[in-house]
This record gives sequence, C-alpha cells and structure tokens, in this order.
Amino acid sequence: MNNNAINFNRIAHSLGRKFLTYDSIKADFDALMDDSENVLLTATGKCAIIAGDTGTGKTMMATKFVDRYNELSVDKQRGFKSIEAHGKMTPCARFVNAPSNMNRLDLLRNILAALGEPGIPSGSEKEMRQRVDTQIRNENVKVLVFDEFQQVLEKVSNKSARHIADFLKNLMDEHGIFMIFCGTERTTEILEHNEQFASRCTRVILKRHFSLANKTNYAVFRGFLYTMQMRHEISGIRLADPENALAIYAATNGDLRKISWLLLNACKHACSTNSSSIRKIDFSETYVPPTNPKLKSTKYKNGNVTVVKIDKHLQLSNPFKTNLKSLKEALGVKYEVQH
Amino acid sequence: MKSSIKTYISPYGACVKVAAFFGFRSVQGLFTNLGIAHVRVWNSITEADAQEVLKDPAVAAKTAGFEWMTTCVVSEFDKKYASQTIKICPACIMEGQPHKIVWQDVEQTICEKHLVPLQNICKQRLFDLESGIHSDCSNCSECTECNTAESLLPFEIALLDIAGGSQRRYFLNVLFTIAERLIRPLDFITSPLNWAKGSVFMVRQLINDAYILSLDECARVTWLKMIAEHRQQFSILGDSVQEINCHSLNIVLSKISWQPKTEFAGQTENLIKKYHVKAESHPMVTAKTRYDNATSGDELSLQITGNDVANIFGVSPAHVTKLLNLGTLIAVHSGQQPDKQIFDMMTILETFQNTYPTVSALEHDYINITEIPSAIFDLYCLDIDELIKSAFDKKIESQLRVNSTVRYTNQLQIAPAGLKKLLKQKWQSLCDQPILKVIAMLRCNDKVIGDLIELGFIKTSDTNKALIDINSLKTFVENYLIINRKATFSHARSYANNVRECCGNDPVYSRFMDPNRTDFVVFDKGLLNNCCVEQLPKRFQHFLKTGVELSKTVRAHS
Repeated sequence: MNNNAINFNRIAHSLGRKFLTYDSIKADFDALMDDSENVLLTATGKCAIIAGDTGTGKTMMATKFVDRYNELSVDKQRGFKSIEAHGKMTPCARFVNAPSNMNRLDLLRNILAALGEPGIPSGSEKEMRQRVDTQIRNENVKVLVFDEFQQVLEKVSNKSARHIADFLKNLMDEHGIFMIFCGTERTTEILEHNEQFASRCTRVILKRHFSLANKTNYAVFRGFLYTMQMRHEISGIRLADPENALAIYAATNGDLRKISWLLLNACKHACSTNSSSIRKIDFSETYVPPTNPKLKSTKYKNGNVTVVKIDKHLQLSNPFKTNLKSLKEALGVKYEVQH
Repeated sequence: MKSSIKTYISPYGACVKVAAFFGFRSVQGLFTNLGIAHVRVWNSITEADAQEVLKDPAVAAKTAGFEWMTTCVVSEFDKKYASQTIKICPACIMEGQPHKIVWQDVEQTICEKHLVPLQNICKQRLFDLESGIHSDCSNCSECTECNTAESLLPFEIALLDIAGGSQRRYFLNVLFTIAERLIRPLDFITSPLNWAKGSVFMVRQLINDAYILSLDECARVTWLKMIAEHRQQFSILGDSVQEINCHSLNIVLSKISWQPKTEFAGQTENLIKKYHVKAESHPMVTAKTRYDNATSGDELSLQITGNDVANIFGVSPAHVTKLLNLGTLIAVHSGQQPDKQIFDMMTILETFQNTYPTVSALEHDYINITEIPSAIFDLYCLDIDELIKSAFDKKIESQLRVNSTVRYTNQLQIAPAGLKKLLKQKWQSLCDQPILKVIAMLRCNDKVIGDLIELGFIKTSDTNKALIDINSLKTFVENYLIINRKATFSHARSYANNVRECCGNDPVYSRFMDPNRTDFVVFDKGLLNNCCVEQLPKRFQHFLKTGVELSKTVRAHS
C-alpha cells in the first residue's frame, strides 16, 4: 500500500470519538454544564430533557457530557468551584441505558449496573431501590443521564410510568441529583406524569436533523461539514462546497450518524485505492441508496419541521453523480447557494 | 508506621462488608447477583466464596482503597472449635473492623483491645450494624444484649495476666475440663458439652465458676467426699460403684497448677450444690437423652450406663446388652451401644438384692464367668448369655464377688456343678442342628462332616437335608471317642499314636484337616481297653485354666 494513502484508521478513530460542537450544540452543552454545577451548589435535584429524532446527536452529547463532568469533578484547577463543599468524595456522573423491553424492575437493574454493582443485579424492587440509594450515596453520584428514555415510558402503563417518575423524583430530591433524560419526543411525557417533575425541569433541548429550509440552515450545515473536515483532518475535496454539501445532505437527510458513516466509507474507499486524499468518486462509489423508501413525517410540538420528500431523493440515482441544479431542485432549495 | 501484622477475618465478615457497602440487605443478595450457590448458614460461607466476591472486578474496583482490604486476610476457621453464633466486639465493629476469626474461638470471651466482653448477635444484626441500620433484635434468640461497660470476670483478669500463649492455652484447657465436670457434678454419668453451642454469657459463667472452684484449696477433697456421700447407699455393690468417674475427676483436678486463694476457700461445696440441683438440660449438653428420661434431679443423679452395669456385675458390656434384650435387666433407655444405655441405679441394686438376698460366705471354688473357655459353650451349643441369664434367674447357683481383686472389680461366679448341669440339660434338649453348628460342636470341618455322613456315623434330618439329625449325632458322640471334642487339635495326632502303640488299636476314622487343626480322630469306645483310655486326656482337662478345674469339681460333686 502507498505510504501516502489516506490514514483510514486515524480518521475512523477520530470519527468515533471526537465530539463536534457547533454553535447551537455548544450552547446547549454549556447550559447543561451550568445546570449541573448549580445543582451541585444548591444540592437540590433538577432535570433536563434532550429530545429529538434518531441521529441528531443526543447520545453523543450525553456521553460527552458525562465524560466532561467526570473530568471536571477531579480537576482541581479547572473543575467545579463547589467541589470543596463536597468534602473528600468527588461528585460523579453515570450514564444509564434505558432497557429496550422493560418491566418496572429493569430500569432499577440498569441503574444499578450503571452504578457499578457487581454481578447481574437482582432482587425485589424494594431491595434494589435501597441499593440504588446506598450506591448513589457511596459514589457521590450527582448526575444521572438516561439514554433512550422514551422506551421507559412507551413499554409500561401510565400507572407504572407515574410510579417510575415518582421514584426518580424522590431519588433526585433525596440525593440532589441532576438527571438528564435523552430520547425521542415521547421523553417529554415524563413531565406530564409527575407535575413536581415538571417543576424541576431546567430545560428541554430539542435536537433536530440538519435542514436546508432556508439560507441560515444551509450555512449551519456547511459550517458543520467544514468543521468536521478540519477537525478530523481529512484532505481532499471540500465537503462544504455546495455540490458536495447538497449531495451529502441528499444522501443522509441531515442525519449526523449517516453523515459520519458516509464519510467513513468514502475514506475507506480512498484508502483502498491508495489515494492520499478523499475524492468525490469515493462518495459516489460507496453510496448506498436508501432501502426503506417510506416517508416518515414527525411533528414537533415547538414548531414545524421541514419534511424532505424522500421520493425525490430516489429520483436521484446517485446524488454524487448529479449536478448542482438537479440537486437543488430535488431538495427544494430555492435560494442561491454559493461557494 | 502501620503494623504489617494481618488480621484474619471470617469469610462471612468480608462478604458482609462488601454487601453492606453496595446496599444489599443480606449476603445472599450479593451472592445471587454473582451467581454464587445459595448458602443458608453464615459459617458455611467458605474462603473460596469470599475470594470470588472480592475478586469480582466491580467489587475489586470499589473496595481496593478500603483500609480493611489492606490490613485483613480472609481465612476459614475450624467450625468444630468455633462458636456457632456470631460473636463480635461492638466497639471494634463501630470502628469499622470486619468480623474477626479470633472472636469465634470458643475460649475467646473478651475483646483484648477494648477489654469488654464479646457479644452474641445474629447474622442479620451484624449486617445491620455494618450497614448503619438500627434494628430491633429484642426477640432474637441469638442476640444477647451485653453491657459494654461490664467488668471482666476474675478468670479473664487472671488470663490477661498470663503472658505466654502456651500457658494461656493450658490455663484455659484446665478450666474448660473442670467446667465440663461441673454440670451435674455428683452424677454417675458425666455430661459432655458442645462449647460451640454456648453463648458468651454461658461460657463466661461456667468458666468463671470453674476458676473459682480451682482456687479452693480443698476442692478435690470436698468434691470426692460429696460424691462418696451421694453413693453411700450403693456400698454393698463394692468400690467399683464408688469409683465411677472419680479417677478421671482426680486427674482433672490434679492439673490445677496455680496457687489457691484464701478468699475462695469453701466455695466448692456451694458450687457443686448449685450445679447439682439443676435438673434441666444445659443448652450446651450434647447427650440430652438422659435428661429426657428423668423426672427429677435425684433420678438423674442415679442414672448409670451399660458399661458401668457390666463392671458392677463382672460381665462384659455385650452381655448386659443381651440381658437387656432378654428382659432380665430393665433400662431407663435401652440401645445396642452399652455406653448409650441408661439404667437406674436403684433398679440395679434391686436386681442384685433379689438375686443375692443374703450375704453368705462366698464359695472359693466357684468359676469366674469370664474365665470359662468359649470352646466349652461351642461343644454344647450353649450361649454364654444363657448361662448369665440362668445365674440371674437363680436357675443355677452363682455369687457376685465384689472387690475381688486389688483393683476392686466385681466378678459374677458360677458353681461348677451348676454349669455342668446346664451343659447337660442343653445337650439333652438339642434338636436337629444346622451343619455349621455341628462343625462347631465336633470341632471339625465340612469335609469331615461329609465323610461322617457318607460313612453312616451321622445322618441328615429326614425333613430338612440342611440339618443333622440330633439323635444320630448323640449316638455318635456316645459310642465313639472323638479326641477333638476332648483335646486340643494339636494334640489329637499324638494321642492317637499313644493308643496305637499301647494296644495296637487304630482309629475307626481319621482325617487330616489342615496344618492348624491336624487330624480329626475317632475311636470306637467298645474297642478301647482301659489302658488305652488312660492314654487319652480326661474330659475337660484341656480346658484347664486357673480357677476352672471342671474335671475335679465334677468328680467332687458327683
């Protein structure tokens, strides 16, 4: 293999770990950090919700938040100013994956697993609650992040959902914990199940796919692509160029997870062809048309969302082989796009 | 500088620490999580179980920094010598120390660090203490509330003054042995204790009383005197009754190597009375059967084992069992093992007085029952137990010689004429016998029996071919002289040679059996001259033993 070939391994590693912040994400991330520090200072439990469709970067944001929190909590120089108030025990954050097909005990089991309980957590609800209490106290857990929380609410009855909400509210109050619930739009329903819960919610962050509805959105998307290319040090064609940006959008529908995957495959192709930089042909060769052409429309409560006609995508056999005019027409872009 | 000496902690103690840290309500919950097999009893948790817990990655990650993890070593303890109930020093537990192995030693009654008595608690209470939960165990049988400000007992103070480990062990060993004898101290039967079952309170009280007794200069004299007084009514049965368990008591008390104290003089009598009055079974007593079979303390104190009854009557314990089975002796608690049989001493005395109502001059030519050769019984198909039963039932003349030797043992003796009469009765009353019995009666083997049947000397029963017709056997023994029935096997051939050399009479049947048994030799009595008969041993002569001269006594009585 050519020594000058693109370093696929480095890019793959970078794509998997580096978290890109752009304007709105950075603001949300900082706001959550502020909230968590306020909770630490006041010792009163609060919560926040990150809701949005899949592939909008909720989980990535949540995991990075947990990592960042734990880093700051042990960093005496740059860390939380309130750390001294917590004595010898360092406050820490834990990431809880909500169970996929849960019953009432499964959430407790997953919380215990996240807290580092040995073995496979088992026992009655009462016993497990006691253990959650003890271990939160022992570990001085001050942040609990629940991912895919909509599953907790979808799979149980309203009564059970209220039961869970009450339990989490008590946990939050008793230990002064900042809880973050990530998931689809339904995650916000937890606020409806417990009014006191709603009063403790500091913010609801709605995460959306990139949009090309107007020029501002287009600029955000291009900015993201530019940052991505710079941050991951990918040489070759400029992703932020209009024909590339629109082709990427057409191929991914603005889904962050799909954009990363598309880039990863293109880099792999470039590497396999001993290319030292990424080319448009790498994208066109690795492009896979969507297998499920069903239209999916979702309605957000706080506003309308631009629904991209996927059938129009399908009219484009390969967006990377399509000219800019056709792309604009297919994506409904009516404004001028510029370099 | 921190001490490098490791503290040995119990597997349960280590598991409790971990489980309590993770908020479990029992060790079992932690075990279920880790897939460790269910353990019901706290002291059944092994070192391997504890290591499995401690080596679990999640546990290891979180407990690595704990002080007890660096200063303590998990080790199993010998359950045989350890208390079954958990013992703790509350002060040590409050300091965060795990459950130590040394506390479980039966001999350990105090915490030598805090100088307070140890406390018995149940496993859940220990768990609650570790978890910082206040639990109410007032109705728990295992938990004992103990005043931590309670002062040490005299024996504990004396123990702390002893420096050397071996000296301490000796001191405690002696006290524990004395304490075992303190339970029902005047009884014929001692009450072995299972110290592992005892609570700290019980052990402390008992050991302390033993210590107080050991400080009385006259303890041994007083104790033995009280035993002698208690057994005075049985003096007619000889010194063997008086001496039951006294020798071992003497040995126990002779081990006291520390100086008596004047302030404890005269305490022995009070202590012995205190422990003798209690009729109920002590919780630590292992053999409770005798307590269940007594209605009062007096009955309890007069119980005696089958072994001791055997000594009183000068027979073996197996014979006592047989007499018990035959109904000659009546037991409070019967069984096949003589040491587990329980007799009432009053019943034994009554049996003796019924059998030997008047104390007459003892006969000197009576035969000690244990000295009768077993071969005699084989010849007549008589069981020794039948002989003893006949003696007890007064069917034959017998006497009980008490204090017969310098060791003051008793002997059951039988009149030789009575024995002879019994043998004759037995021979006459015999019915058809199995071949194995006939082999024993003729002192031969199965090949000889086969020959005798073939030659027509004896015949099988008409009704059952496995039996020998008793009439043919009696005729054979009457008409023919079977040297093996009269002499030892080794001499049979030389006697046959003597007869042959005397008158040239040859045996009618002779067969080499084996190198040990030599020949089976049979002469026709009708062909033997008087001179030849002189060459043969007299009846019973070869059974001669000191004190068993049946041939002489039979002649004297005939």
